[in-house]
Amino acid sequence: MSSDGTSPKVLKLPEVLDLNAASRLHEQVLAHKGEDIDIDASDVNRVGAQCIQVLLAAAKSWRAEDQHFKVEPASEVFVKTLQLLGISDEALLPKEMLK
Amino acid sequence: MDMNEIKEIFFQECEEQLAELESGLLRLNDGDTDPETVNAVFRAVHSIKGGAGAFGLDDLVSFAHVFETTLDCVRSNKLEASQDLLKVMLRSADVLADLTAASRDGGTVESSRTSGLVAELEAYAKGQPLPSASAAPAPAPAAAAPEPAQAETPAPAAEAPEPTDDSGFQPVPFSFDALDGDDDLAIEDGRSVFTVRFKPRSDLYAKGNESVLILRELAKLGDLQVRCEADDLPSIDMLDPEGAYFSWLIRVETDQDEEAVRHVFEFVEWDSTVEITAGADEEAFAAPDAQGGDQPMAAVPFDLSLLEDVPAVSAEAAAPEAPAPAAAAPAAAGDESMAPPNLPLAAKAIAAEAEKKETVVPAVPAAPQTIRVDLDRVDRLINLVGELVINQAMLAQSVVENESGGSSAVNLGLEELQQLTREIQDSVMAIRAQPVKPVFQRMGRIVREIADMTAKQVRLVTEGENTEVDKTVIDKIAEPLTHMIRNAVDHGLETPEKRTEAGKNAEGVLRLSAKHRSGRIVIEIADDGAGINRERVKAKAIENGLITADANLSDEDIDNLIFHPGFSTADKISDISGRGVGMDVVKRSIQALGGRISITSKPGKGSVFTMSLPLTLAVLDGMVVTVANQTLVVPLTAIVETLQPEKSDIHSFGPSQRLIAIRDTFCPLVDVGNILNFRSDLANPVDGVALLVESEGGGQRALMVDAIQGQRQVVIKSLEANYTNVPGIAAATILGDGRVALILDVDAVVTASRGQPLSPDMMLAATG
Repeated sequence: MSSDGTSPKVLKLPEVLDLNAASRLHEQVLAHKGEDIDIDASDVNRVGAQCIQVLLAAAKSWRAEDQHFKVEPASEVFVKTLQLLGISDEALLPKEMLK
Repeated sequence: MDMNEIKEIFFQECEEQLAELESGLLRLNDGDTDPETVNAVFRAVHSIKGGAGAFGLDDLVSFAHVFETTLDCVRSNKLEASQDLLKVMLRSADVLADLTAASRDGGTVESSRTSGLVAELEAYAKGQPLPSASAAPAPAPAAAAPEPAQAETPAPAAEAPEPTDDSGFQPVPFSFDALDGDDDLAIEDGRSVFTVRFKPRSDLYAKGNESVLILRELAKLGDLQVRCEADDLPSIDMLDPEGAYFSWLIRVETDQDEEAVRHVFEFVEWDSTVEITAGADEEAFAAPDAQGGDQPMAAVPFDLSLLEDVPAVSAEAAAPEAPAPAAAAPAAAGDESMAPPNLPLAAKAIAAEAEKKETVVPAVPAAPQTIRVDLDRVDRLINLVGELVINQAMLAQSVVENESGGSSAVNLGLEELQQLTREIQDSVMAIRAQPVKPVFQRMGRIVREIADMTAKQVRLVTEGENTEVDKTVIDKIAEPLTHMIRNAVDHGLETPEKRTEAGKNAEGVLRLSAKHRSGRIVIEIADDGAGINRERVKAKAIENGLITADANLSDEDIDNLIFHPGFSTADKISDISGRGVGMDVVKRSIQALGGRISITSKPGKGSVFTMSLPLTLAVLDGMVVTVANQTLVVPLTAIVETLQPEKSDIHSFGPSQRLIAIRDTFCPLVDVGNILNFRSDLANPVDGVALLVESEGGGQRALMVDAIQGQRQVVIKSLEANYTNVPGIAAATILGDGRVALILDVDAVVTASRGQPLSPDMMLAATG
């Protein structure tokens, strides 16, 4: 949990998170390592499996270190893609959004 | 990169795949049993099918599909690669090439050819070769495999996955039920359930494919239940963002068959592990925790309606009907088409990532040391170099004109420039030079085909396959060569019985050779057949009114009759000779390339067709001469020697013929100015220069010109393309002073000097 009580940093995802965006997303996420973070996926209108991998790995790692990591808000495309990929990890999205 | 460019790349790749396919089949034919050869052949057909699917080339796809299915049986050892099967496959490769060409250039392939082969291939795939295919027994030692596939009961859901073979390929069980239209996998309302295990490798992404798109395609087939297995996902620090960690277990409920499900994965089959089993694997879905993963992932039922507002990821790259993942498949260009225009990534970063990909993923084969360059670009370069050559010549000329004597520094510089220009030109030409091997390879199949059709035994021997020649020349010789090969087998070689009677080996030998000779490429097609039946040729020519009955023709003249338009000695129109292409067309297409063709024949021993072609169609070394105040260029390769005639050397012969004595022989003297109608009266030989030339038809002539200006490399500018064909003139060029000079067609002039008129369609009757 965030110890200093400040609100989590927000990482706003770009519209396009395709194959070419995975490395950059990875760098961006890593840059926030150790911080509480909110991922804003509201603009995403295209997302590929590799970027989801990055986000899910980040979610797991953040959770393992007991830090705040939440994807919110998320665009419909983002949610639908997670559903299509069969990803029901609450670490990424609240369960009710995935059902 | 627009769709047409991607398509163009696809067709280029098709050519490579077709070559790969053929050489693989030939290796198998020669007894190669390496499974990798079969795999290579399969991959070639598969890639063509894949790309063709993306472009909606349905004819190509459906034929390639049947071909691939049969190859798959060979690959999975269900079918033996017998000689008979390979014959069918070689013919199929031929049809595949034709279908590809038809897709590229428009046009069609006779449906009887495709449907016949489809039937034969399908019969083999079912383990029941058509009796017409061969008299050989059914080559299906592993026949146990295809037959039980007709099973009445659905395959059990928990069936063990097929073992992976050495090469790492996952043989996908092919249900013959699908072909028969059986529908015994139905669970309700004619719907079937399949369980798909899909594990992409990082190559899949590296090649621009996307699992999301694959799953979307799958969702279009019916209802999905998808479970993502992410146990392999490392912590964020250890993660390779370009890696592939997810795999999926998917339950598909669809009214389509297994083939349709498999079809979704066909573009990623090489870069992922795909297992498709009929029936549901309820256990796997029911027990998500059984895997021991700390992230229990419930199967999420997926409904296609959810997809409707998802923007098509590859909309800008793919035709709407084309399966989206396919669009990325045919070319590496897929990466590019997927990249959004506003992606905030520097080109450098992309390049760096690409490099990283190479190192991280050792499975990616090292890039070959070649680059693919658009032919247009090379042509533009060649044109520019041509202009450079002209410009350099102009510069040299003005130096000569403006400087009396010329300073040695300028002259030295000019000389160096000339040398450099020459080197640049040679290097540029070398880019276009390619070995004739692919064309020769194709001939092997044609020989086999014709031999089968005519029940002759033929062995093709090729020599000098690595002889290089300009790509344009290669592209254009394939057709005349094919026809000549057909002709040689059909008309040249005798049947085995006749050969045995004549005391020859029953198997005829066809020798196809290429070599460089004095700046040209010479291709010979020699058969050891019966030789030209001159009696029959002459009779036929008289019958067709080509010559008069009392015409007195030399053997060479008779042999050359076969090049006359419309001439055919075939008494009946056969499949081979009935294609409406005669030797006259062959001759014309060779001539259009600046080439010559000649024939020598010995009764009982066989015939030799000799084609001589320029190595390039862009430049030529020429002798610049003056004839009746006109500047002409005579190709240097034709000139044997030049000489200044003495009055005593000139002899009259008949009313208008003149001969020149050169050492021990007499050689007819040809006044170029008179032949080309530059002047009506004959020039005095003593005032001019004689160029001793050798024509392709054999024999020397002395061409009379007024003066020699010098020797120069000239850039060929086609007269046909820019003006029209002029008899006696091969092409034109631009000289250093900017004037246009005509390039002499030596052979045409020599032929005209024999008394035949200078017209494109020389009337043979005139020789009679």
